[in-house]
Amino acid sequence: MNNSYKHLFSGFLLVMLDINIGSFDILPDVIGYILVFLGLGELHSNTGIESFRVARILSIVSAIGAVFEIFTGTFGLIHMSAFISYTVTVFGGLSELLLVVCIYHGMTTHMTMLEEISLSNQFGNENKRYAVIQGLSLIVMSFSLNMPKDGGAYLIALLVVSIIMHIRLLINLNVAKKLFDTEASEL
Amino acid sequence: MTDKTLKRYIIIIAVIVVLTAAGNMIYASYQVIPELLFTEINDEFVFNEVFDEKLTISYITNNRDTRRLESISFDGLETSQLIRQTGYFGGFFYTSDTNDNPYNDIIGRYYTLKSGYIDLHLTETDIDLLEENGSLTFGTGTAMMSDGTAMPVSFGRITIHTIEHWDEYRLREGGGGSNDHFTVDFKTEKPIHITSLDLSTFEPHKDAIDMKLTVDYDKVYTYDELIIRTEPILVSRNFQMAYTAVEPDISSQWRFNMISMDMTYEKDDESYNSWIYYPFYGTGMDEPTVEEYVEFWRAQNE
Repeated sequence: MNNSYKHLFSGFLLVMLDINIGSFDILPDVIGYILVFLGLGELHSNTGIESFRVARILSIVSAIGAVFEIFTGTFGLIHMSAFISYTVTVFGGLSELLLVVCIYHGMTTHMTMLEEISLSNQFGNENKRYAVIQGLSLIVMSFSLNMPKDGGAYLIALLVVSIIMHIRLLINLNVAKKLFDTEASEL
Repeated sequence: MTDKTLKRYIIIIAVIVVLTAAGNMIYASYQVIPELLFTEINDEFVFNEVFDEKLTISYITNNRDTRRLESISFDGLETSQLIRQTGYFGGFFYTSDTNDNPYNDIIGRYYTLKSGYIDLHLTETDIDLLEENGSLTFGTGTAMMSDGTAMPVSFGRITIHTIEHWDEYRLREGGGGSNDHFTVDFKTEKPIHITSLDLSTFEPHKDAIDMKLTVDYDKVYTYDELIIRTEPILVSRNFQMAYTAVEPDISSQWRFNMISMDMTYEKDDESYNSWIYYPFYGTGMDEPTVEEYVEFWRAQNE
């Protein structure tokens, strides 16, 4: 069980970290999403929580988006029009938001099943916080198509918000991971 | 949070994001211009043995339009004028190291302002015609794009004078401008009467620019006075035309450039033509200025 949350933690860490050599990310996001997919599969089979199953489907969507990004961004093999690029960005952001919301909901339910009430409340509150903040960020980001080119300060603010929310996700995944590390060591 | 509540949150967030994105895409699609827009060029040159004049051609495209201008065949000139993609100013080639924008285009949210440069080339036939008439005027023609498409273009007016013609007919002393102000000075050796002034190109800009014609540092005429005036205006020594943007610090050079006034005057009972213009080539237009230009074009054409 502890491997499941370890997979989620490692997966999202890879997605968050971008170490570029030229335009090539040596930690491709697609590998991160594959790890998330594996972790969610284990969690769903062990707990039967529906949210993990839905999140698993969304992780595939995010992985496909990451593969697309490799061909368009990294290798520049496909040149997309501004509209298509914008649609992919917004859709990708929405898919990631729903993925994390489903994961948080699954973690909340899982902690309730294990009678870890304080963790359940923690993950539940973080889920609401994440949904609202990232939802608002995505709505603001959707105006980027019509924002003047020299009005980029708001995009930096959105990026900072996104980084903070992802760090918080990693922290919460680490808490869940450590819970099962503790249980394993007690056994 | 129950599953039902979560589902509701997800649906609300997804609907809002999708509607916002769709609204933005619809709005952006309305900003597309149906054709390439060239900014105006109005200028005069003197032809001499060392004729080394350059034109800067600026044009606005949609961001997804990657075509570049390759040549222009001007009506009135025998040969096509080739376009250089990089400017050569003051002894240095002006290029950029940015791979994504090698020609230093001004890229906005909807439009790209591109520039090309012409080293004006006159053939023997052109020169013969110039010397026969004293001047050669051109401004319309056909532009050839990098994808092979050809399109009719109308820039404004470019006139080349022989030295003799320039010395005989020239009234223009000089001029200067900034973002929101432009003046041009004219001087005459003998008294003249301005008999007509074509204000039609100023009319679309009259709410954005104030016009002032100052004669002999004394009499001042505004647009409203000039539009109804029927008597000739006596100029003893000099006159100045000044344009000032109504809103200061607003970049109005593209407006000044579009105002090209034909003027007729009498000197020693003979009638002569001249014109009042501002030689701004569209470079230096930033994103808001480009969008303002497009909005003006839409108002005039749609």
